[in-house]
Amino acid sequence: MSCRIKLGTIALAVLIMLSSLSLTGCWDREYLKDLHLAYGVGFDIANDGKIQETVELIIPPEIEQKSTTSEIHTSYGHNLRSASNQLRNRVRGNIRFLKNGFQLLGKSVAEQGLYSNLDVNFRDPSNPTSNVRVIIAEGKASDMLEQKTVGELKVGEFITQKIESLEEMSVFPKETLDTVFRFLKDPGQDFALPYIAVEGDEIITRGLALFSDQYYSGMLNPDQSILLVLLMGQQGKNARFTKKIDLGYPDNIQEYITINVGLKKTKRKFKVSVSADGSVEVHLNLKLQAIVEEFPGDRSLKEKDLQKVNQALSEILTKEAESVVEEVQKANCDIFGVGRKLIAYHHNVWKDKNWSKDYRKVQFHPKVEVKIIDTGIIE
Amino acid sequence: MTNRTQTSFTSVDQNSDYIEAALFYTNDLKKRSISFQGREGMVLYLESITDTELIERNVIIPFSRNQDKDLPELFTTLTFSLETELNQGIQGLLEGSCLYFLEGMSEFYVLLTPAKYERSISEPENEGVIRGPHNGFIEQMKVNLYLIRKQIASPNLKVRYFTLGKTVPKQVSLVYMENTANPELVKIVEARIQKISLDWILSTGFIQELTEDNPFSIFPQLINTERPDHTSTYLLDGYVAILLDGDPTALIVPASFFSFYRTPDDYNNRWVITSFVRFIRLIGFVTAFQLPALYIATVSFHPNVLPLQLFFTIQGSLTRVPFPPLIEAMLLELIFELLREAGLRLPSRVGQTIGIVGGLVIGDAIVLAGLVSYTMIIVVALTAISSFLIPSNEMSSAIRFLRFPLMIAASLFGYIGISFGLTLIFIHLCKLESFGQPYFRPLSPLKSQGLKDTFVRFPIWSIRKSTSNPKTDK
Repeated sequence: MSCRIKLGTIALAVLIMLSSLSLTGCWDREYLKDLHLAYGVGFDIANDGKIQETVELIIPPEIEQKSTTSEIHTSYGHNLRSASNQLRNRVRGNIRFLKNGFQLLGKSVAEQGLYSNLDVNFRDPSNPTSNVRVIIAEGKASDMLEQKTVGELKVGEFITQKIESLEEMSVFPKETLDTVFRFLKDPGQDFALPYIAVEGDEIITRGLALFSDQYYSGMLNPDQSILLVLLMGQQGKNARFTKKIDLGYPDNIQEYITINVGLKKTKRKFKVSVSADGSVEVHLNLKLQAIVEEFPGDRSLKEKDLQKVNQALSEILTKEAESVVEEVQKANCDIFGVGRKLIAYHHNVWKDKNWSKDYRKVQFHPKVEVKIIDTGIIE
Repeated sequence: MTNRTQTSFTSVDQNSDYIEAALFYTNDLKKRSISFQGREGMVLYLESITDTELIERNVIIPFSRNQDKDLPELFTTLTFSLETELNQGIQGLLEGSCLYFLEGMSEFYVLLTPAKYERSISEPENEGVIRGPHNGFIEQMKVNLYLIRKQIASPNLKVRYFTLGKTVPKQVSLVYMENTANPELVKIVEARIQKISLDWILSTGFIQELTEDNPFSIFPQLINTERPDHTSTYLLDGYVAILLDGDPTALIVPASFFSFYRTPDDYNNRWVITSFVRFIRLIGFVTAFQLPALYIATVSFHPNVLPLQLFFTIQGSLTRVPFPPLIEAMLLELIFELLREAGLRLPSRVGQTIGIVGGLVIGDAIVLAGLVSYTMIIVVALTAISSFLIPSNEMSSAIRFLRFPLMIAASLFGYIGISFGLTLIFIHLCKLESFGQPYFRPLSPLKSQGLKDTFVRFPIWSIRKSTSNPKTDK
């Protein structure tokens, strides 16, 4: 029963233990201590056609319990990696993109095409992709990052928090490098990315940047963005609309009503049908359940008023949905994935189409129905 | 013991000379001449281990009063035997008897008069319970057997004596329940104990090391306890206990890994509470040997798993530390082991000093001096606390030792190293046996019945008949 281990085996084991202790410089080790974290990265295309990379580096505090500081660095190169290498020449230590929160792309990059500029992220597995937001900046990305701070926050932190909170408000769809990569490779579906801009000291939301294939092709304002996000079938914690309705009340205050459809059950019907002559029709129905969040005035909403409100809101939103779809079609951005449906269910039709041209000919029939299910705790 | 035999002489002087020579004229051997019915006689005893008052009252005074009676009638108050073999007599002397020789008689009397200096059967210090019996084993095996018999008044409880040690014989007893203990198991234990051939045995540690299945394993393969109730529970479950005279520890076999995570308190508490406590212990088991390794792997290979704020906090605390994480961790772990060992050996009056030196000087100053980081102190402190969560001291030491190889594996290969290390440990645990029983039962081999009393404790009515009984496991 008792196993007798030979002396040689023990000696070998001890030798392995001791020698492994001396292996201090291991190949893929990266000490947390030596890392210099690039939290936010911005890309632009400089006037001479080179790539301009701007990086926000977070510097850990020298003394404990102090807050971190940040440095902004810029470099130029023929492609992303060469720009990064240039950057490494300039700044201290080893820049790592481990905790990269977002990639800010200047409008110039977006117009020139995303794929070539995101290639390095997909090719090198050590670059994080799953939680990295892709954001389009009006003007230059470097201008935005060089602000360094917005209020008390570092610019990188500010942008991430801003994007996250706006995703919760359903202004932006949740797009990361991963999902963008999928859409870039998919001929049947396009995407929209957050579109932000610098205004004075502040960073403000412009809305959504629409993409056709990999090129920037148009934009939506924040109000339209919310509707688009809902039409896409996504939903944040909140999705608010403030609309003017006429209930026939005498006082003017009660013209505006704010509703919230976030976190409520929505029903979306997306149907792509092909008629005999090959023309494509899309029916997009959206049933929203809404809570009245603000409706100032003396008159409370009665049961029969609610019917009217429902109807009025449905009409308004349907009309807006039509304009959103129009914008999207104008931008040639197949954000709903009509092409994907054709590929899947009407493949012969798809093969005959030149989608980048024929997408604009698709007949959209959007319809939004609003039902108010709650008017809050006051009568 | 010497193998020579020597029958007693008829002359008292010859006998006493022989015994004196055999004991190398030790000074505590006392002789006293007492004649009986005109014949010369002599009482011999070792004053250091006999009760001299007992001899006075029950041997010497009867002689002066009852010269007319028969000799055996004098000693009715004492246990005695008649011997002819002098070396037997010498062994008797060494065990606390006194000898009486009478001129012209070929036999001599061995009268049992041992001194009794017994510790009280108080609760063992390192195995205290909140509720339940508060007695414990002491250094007298007879008393220990008494304590067990008090708990189990059953004819099935069987005690078997063995004598171990060639020059210094010691009594060992094997205790088990005839009806529940697996006869195979009893045979194995018996065979292993009889195989021990040492000159002397001082403690149960000797027996433990000489009977283990795998002496190279760092895991203890015999349960040891100083609690009679703990022992009795195991006995009733079919385990076998080994007691050694002169040692208050009972060894219980066959051990399983999870038996070291059990305390008698587990069965005195309500089962929900016990299950929660067991769960905490399980967390303690995991953190006790993996936390430093996980920390090292994280900061040297996988910093990307840290949340951003934590990333900066840890990075900030690491900036001033000149060593790689492994050295940093080793340093602190070794300091902690030093403090622990020192605290163990230090008299309690000086013990406070260790607290101050350990807590204040090393804990805080070592960070200010830039030798280790605060996060590492947190990690090591957590590890230390969790290792003391394990009820058994031996298992706790084993687990504490295990983290060093894991730390090295983590510093070499990161999380992959840890998973390889854990794989090796679990392979070893699954392969290990204790007296022919799988050590990692009831997990490997998997027994759903046994699981009821492993990670959680089901109500007694649900587990009563199905604990990890060696008999049913077979």
